[in-house]
Amino acid sequence: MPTSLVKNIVRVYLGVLARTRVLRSQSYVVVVSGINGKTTTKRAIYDALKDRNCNVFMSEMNYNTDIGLPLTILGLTPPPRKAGEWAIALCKAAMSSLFGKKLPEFLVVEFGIADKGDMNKLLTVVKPNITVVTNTHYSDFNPNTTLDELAHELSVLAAATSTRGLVVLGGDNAYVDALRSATKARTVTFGFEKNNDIVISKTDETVDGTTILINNKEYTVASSGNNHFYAFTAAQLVSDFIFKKIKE
Amino acid sequence: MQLDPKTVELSKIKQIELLASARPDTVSLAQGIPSFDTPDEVKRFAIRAIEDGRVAKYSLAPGLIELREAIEESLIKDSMHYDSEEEIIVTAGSIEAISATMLALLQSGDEVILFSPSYVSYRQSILLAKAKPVYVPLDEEHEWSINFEALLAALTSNTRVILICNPNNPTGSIFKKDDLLKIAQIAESRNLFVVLDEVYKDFIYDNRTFYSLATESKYRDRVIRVYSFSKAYAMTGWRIGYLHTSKELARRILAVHDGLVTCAPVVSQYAALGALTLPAASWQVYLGEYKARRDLLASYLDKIVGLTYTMPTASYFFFPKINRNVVNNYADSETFALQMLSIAGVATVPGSAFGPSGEDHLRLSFGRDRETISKGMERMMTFFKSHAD
Repeated sequence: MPTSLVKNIVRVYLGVLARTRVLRSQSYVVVVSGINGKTTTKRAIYDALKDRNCNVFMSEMNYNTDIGLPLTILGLTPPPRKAGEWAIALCKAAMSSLFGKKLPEFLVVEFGIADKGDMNKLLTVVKPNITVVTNTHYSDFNPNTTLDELAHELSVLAAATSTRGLVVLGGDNAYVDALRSATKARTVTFGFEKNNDIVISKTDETVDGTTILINNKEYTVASSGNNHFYAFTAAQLVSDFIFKKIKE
Repeated sequence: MQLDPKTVELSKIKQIELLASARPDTVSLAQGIPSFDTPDEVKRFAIRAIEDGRVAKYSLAPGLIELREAIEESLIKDSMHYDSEEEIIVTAGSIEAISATMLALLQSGDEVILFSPSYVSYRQSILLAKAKPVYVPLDEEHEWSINFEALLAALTSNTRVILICNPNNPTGSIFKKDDLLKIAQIAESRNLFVVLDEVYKDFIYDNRTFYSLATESKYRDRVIRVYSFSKAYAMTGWRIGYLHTSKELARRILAVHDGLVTCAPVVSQYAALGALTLPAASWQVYLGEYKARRDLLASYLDKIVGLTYTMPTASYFFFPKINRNVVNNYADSETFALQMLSIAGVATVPGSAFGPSGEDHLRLSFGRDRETISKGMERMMTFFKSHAD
């Protein structure tokens, strides 16, 4: 049997089982996507929800592809190394999906896209209640896909977000309006540029961290670097939205 | 134009390897190359990147952002917090990272403190920057620890950098946390940079915890930490490593890195990304094998009268001392190593290559497989029997 056919069968099989596990668990799903900064943002959201005593599952490392995502949801990471191990893993996957422990109340996962059509494959595994798009700009990782094509993939994700949910958009790039118009969910943009809904500004940098202002409210972020400030802001927006929802 | 032969020359390790390659039936315990092949998962990552057409073009100078993000994540696990966008640079192995750092930080006439013995090629990197290596002897009697009296005496108004190999190559010893903190305080008070080469940090054979100064945010403006994928992931030929430091220093080093190599080899960057996805458990298998090799080599050294040694707690090197009184017609470690190569067909590195305190020692690598170690050590035992009383 051709390798690509086997890979496709495994992909669909794992995808169905992972989806089943998520549906059975009735978890609230936060999807983080974009070109870079996904893992940092995912961790920041996980930390923010944990700080509020939530029970959270975070997808491991950068398991963010149509094979990697189901593996992490089914608890099968690291992936098997040999053909024999794969056979056992596929059996375990079925057990985990149908009879395994339910996933926590909140799921924070990463979607990685490299080519056209990747987003639709990932959306067969989980559908987001909240989507965070970190950014849309050039990356060496996607040399064969244009920015327009990548932005289209991200707009597919925005469109698939629950209408009762939220789409959080890194706003310091040219594609933000296109993504905003793709979804029927509530949207919020954030970034350093003044036209964002939520504006970040830096105030003070010391060896212990950086003080940033998010819409004039002061926070201290332990790590330096703009991607950490973006990630921190996205995490605040996600956790605030979730808690408002819970109160409602 | 004539080149000055006293400035930069090929390292003694590479010289020995060249000689060894020209002599038939030589067993090499010289170069620090792991005997293992690169893990299949890592190779698959690189192959997929090639097949997807991702490796033909340069990456950004500091490296693929995806790799830098994965490095940032791996650093968090070791309690180090560095920004992938501005504070991490992917390099063509650790020596390029060190050379770029030296070229960025040093001017002609500056001095760099090197502990003696320490890795041979640091000297070349320092000389490339037209600076001067200043050797400070380590205390062999106390597990090759730092002699602070000697260190303080070596500091001058020209000192700019203290370069620390930890765990140390060639001694296989680990510097203590207190000593490293003392060095940081000295660096702070004298406005010096500290370069940490931690390529052997995964090769630790007892229960002691490895400590890195790069975990201290207080010193991030003066600490540059270097790591390589070569050793722990058996990727010496891929030439891939990284450094991380504060934003300001990273910017200065990046300019030199760009001038030296433009970017690290892109195919190797993808391989490194694959390496970072490997589970920690897989490393334990390798570590167990290295420990067995260490014990095997020690069992041979125990039988050689002319050598005394300290059991290495880290890296994959022994650095035994040659007993001058026992070995016949002994002149120095270099002559001795060359003799052993030509007569017994065993390549080792003379201790003098690692600085003045390395004289009268040999560096033996147990990165090689057990069969090679046994064959080399059998020959060495025979050689010592005929050259020692």
